[in-house]
Amino acid sequence: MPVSLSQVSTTPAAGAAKSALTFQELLFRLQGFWAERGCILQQPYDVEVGAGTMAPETFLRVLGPKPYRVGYAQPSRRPADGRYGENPNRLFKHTQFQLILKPPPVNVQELYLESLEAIGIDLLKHDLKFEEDNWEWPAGGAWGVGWQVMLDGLEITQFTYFQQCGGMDLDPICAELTYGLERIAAFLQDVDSIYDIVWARDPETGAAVTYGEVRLAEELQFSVYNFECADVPRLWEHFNSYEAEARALLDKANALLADEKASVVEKRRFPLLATYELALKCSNLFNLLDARGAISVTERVGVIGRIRNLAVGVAKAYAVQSVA
Amino acid sequence: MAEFLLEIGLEEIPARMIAGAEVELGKRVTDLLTRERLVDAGAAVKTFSTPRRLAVLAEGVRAAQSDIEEQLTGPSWTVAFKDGVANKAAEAFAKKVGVDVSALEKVTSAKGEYVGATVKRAGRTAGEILTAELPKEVLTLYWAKNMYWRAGKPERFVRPVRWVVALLDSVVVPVEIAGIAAGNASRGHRVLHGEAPVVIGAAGEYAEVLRRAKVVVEVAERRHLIRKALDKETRGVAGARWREDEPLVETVVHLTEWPTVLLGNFAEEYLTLPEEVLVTVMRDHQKYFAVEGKDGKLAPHFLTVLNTEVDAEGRAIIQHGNEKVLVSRFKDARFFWDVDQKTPLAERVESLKAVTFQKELGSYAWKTEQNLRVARDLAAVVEAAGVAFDRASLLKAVELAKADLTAELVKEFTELQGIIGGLYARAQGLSEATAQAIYDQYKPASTEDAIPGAVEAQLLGIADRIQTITAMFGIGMAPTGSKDPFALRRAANSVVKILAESELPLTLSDAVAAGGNPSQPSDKNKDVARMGHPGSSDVAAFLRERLHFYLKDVRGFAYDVVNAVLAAGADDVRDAIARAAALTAARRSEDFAAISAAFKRIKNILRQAEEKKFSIGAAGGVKLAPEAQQLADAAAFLAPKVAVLRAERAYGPALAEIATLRPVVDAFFDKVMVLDPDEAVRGAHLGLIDGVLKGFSGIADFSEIVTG
Repeated sequence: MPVSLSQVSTTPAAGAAKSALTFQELLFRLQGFWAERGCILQQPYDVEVGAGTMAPETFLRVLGPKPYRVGYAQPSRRPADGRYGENPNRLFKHTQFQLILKPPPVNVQELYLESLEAIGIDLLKHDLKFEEDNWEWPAGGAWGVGWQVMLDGLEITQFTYFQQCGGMDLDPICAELTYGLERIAAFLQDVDSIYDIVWARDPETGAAVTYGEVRLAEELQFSVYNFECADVPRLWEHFNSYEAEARALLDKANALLADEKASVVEKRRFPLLATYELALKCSNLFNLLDARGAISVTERVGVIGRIRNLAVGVAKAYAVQSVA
Repeated sequence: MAEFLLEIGLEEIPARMIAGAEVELGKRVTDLLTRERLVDAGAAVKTFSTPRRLAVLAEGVRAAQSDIEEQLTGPSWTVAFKDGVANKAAEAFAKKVGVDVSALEKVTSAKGEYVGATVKRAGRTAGEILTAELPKEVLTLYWAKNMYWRAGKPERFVRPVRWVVALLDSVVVPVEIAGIAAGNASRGHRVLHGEAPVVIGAAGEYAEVLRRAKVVVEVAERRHLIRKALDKETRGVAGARWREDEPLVETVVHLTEWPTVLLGNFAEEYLTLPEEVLVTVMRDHQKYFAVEGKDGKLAPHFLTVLNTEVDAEGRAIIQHGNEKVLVSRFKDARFFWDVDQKTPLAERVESLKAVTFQKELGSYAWKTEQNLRVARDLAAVVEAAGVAFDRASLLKAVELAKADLTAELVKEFTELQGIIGGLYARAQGLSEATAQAIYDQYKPASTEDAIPGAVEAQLLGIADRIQTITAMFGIGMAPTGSKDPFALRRAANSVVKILAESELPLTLSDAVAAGGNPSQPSDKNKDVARMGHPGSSDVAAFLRERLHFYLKDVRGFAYDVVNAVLAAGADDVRDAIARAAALTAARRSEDFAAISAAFKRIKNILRQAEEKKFSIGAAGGVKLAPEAQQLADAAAFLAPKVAVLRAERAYGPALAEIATLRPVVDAFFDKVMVLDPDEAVRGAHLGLIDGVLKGFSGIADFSEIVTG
């Protein structure tokens, strides 16, 4: 009765996989698709973040009434997920293509499906489901409801209608689409390991450069650093130092924004965006400390609370500043 | 008479919420139509749902309400008419109700004479009513989680409303819901039909029109299609069966509009992973059905329910994609399994210090120490009763029970905690009794679940739960009302169930005693002990309440039987069940009903006597009436027999013996005045009935039994 291994289906579209988009073409297509639909294309945020949501293009732009549409590829660091480059499916740093549509168009799901067609997925040949998956980032006072989009059993996108951010109700709300680029590329190219993804192909010779060639060393070395080398007392020092600076700025911001005599110009030039970067630094340091096993269970809630105070504090001040 | 169709088109509704919403919408529309006299009372409606829509179809809807005449009453006649002439008050009333003053009439009631008016009210049309009333009926549907989507936040709903169809036969009802004007255009399957509108020509054609657009709107039909397709696909593997999984069937029914089923395979090498892990990956993470061979063992196949219908090429692509995902998850699981083996459970116990059990109490290392203490006490009682079990294996299991909390595989599959610990214990060469006890420690997970089979596992399960309950009570975390954040009721239900369905020689008070003093927090929280927390009597009362629940709600005994039995003793769980069963059988006899009534009477008399401060005397030295003497003799004769039967737990025969008292008891109450004016006689009577009550209430307090 048991089947032999040969009965397990082999690649049905081996030819198709070869003609599949490279990693960078995948990104081009998504960027092009959404740019044609009115999105600004931003560059990745140049401070360490755990997810595209944390970049200010999402976290701060979703606040307030002003419509905004933006897309960007965000390298997202999760130190504890590192596997020294040995696990074919897990990465310390993966790439999210993050999209914010504020307010969401009524045909946002249809647009999303078109974007899948644009990256070479023929929906008539696949099984697609929107399965409930709600999202929250407690340290950012942010949550939303939505789906994980499942394609042939693989989660390829997180689709969220943001409801709150920085502890504040959003109005209008926005749709956040997060495409997992490595997963989608591995799916399109039908490779078993992320490291085998073709990142780019030489247009003349057709020679492939793989994801592993581009990123494997980084995965290995950062796993070593995150798990073995990162200096715990120093990480705490950095954390405390960034937190102190952010705290001081935030206190100043709050005083200034509440000051009726202060001019609009003065309020608008206050560096809340820089304050937010300091909060992001704290968040990344927390993740590093966590990967080092340096945060006891009892400490954990307290440290997350400190980050939350900064992130939510900046968001609240930003909301006031943007209408000053 | 028309057919009315309402369809609310939505972005994908969470599968778990659809069934409830479909029922509620059907009820709301039925109630509305009935309330507005648009259908006859008791009219039924059909309901439909898919992930993208909720719909209701009602037949026999009137085009309009019938006109009605109403008699309205106004001011007092003498106030409104002076000498038969209408004044301001009459005019105001006439204006208010919309009739001419000349049409006002005199109405005489018990309170006096009043101005009356007969008002004809034209019935509103169905269209008017539905347009006005439907939006709030729809928008107040209950959802476990809601969202805003429109600017200005005008409404919350489970997901954005994208279209509305509202038809009376083929006429659009111009209702607007969440900013969407109703029309006759529905939508079909996202991929198989595409975005072209699906026009519903007439309400009654709804299901058929959507079927042509590749949507099966009837839930029961999708369920049937899925089950048939699962059977059919499984026939592709000789001798195989798909594992029945009703909750999973319901989930996929609500994830699909046009379901088909596909069989996939995985390499046999993964069958070396524990079945529990394989099934969890397939069922919980991928929503796949597991397939088993003739021997009941897992076969290297799975079934996935698609929300589409594809050609052979598509099937191959989808099968390949699903197989890849599954294998990568299996690989992950195997990776975690291998990594976890590098640190045996015994070495993990130390790291439990870093895992919080409850922040005021301590870590899981603390919890483990406490569990050991409780388990030792329980083991001593069981040993003393001569029940054989492997004490060393039990204590090893208690020591290692929580160690899998630090395992990678448990972090990945939290629902397998305990089970994974048990599997690791077996893989690491611990005794079978230890491994099985760790594996079974969370059984029973509910009142329907079976209890663990082995004594070691039963004792671990009781020790762990009674320790949790006692410790939580100690820091004031006892459940109140609907609040039970630590699921202590479920824990106590499991303790009762294990005691009830095992052969452990343990009583509830043994469990309470082993749990110890509730105020025993960990070292760092010594101050908690001074906070004046409840004692073990509260834990005892809590367990007794759970025993009551078990007898009544799980075993289905009548509430009066449960009260009667527990009043006579609530410590030995299995004994209480045996007494309840015997009492349930005995109460049907007429003699027994009379005895119950007599015992109630005895209790009342004794209560009166106590209120009047009558003393209870001894029977000796007073000449009793013959009926009293007969009762005394019969009781004296029966008491030792009943005591022997009770000791033998022969409750049926014991109750039958007690029932034979009926003639003498009846005669006694017929002929004897219990509260005799003579103090000595009265004292003797009271002594007699008090003796009867005490002597025969050891099995149950019969006075609790509700009679005819």
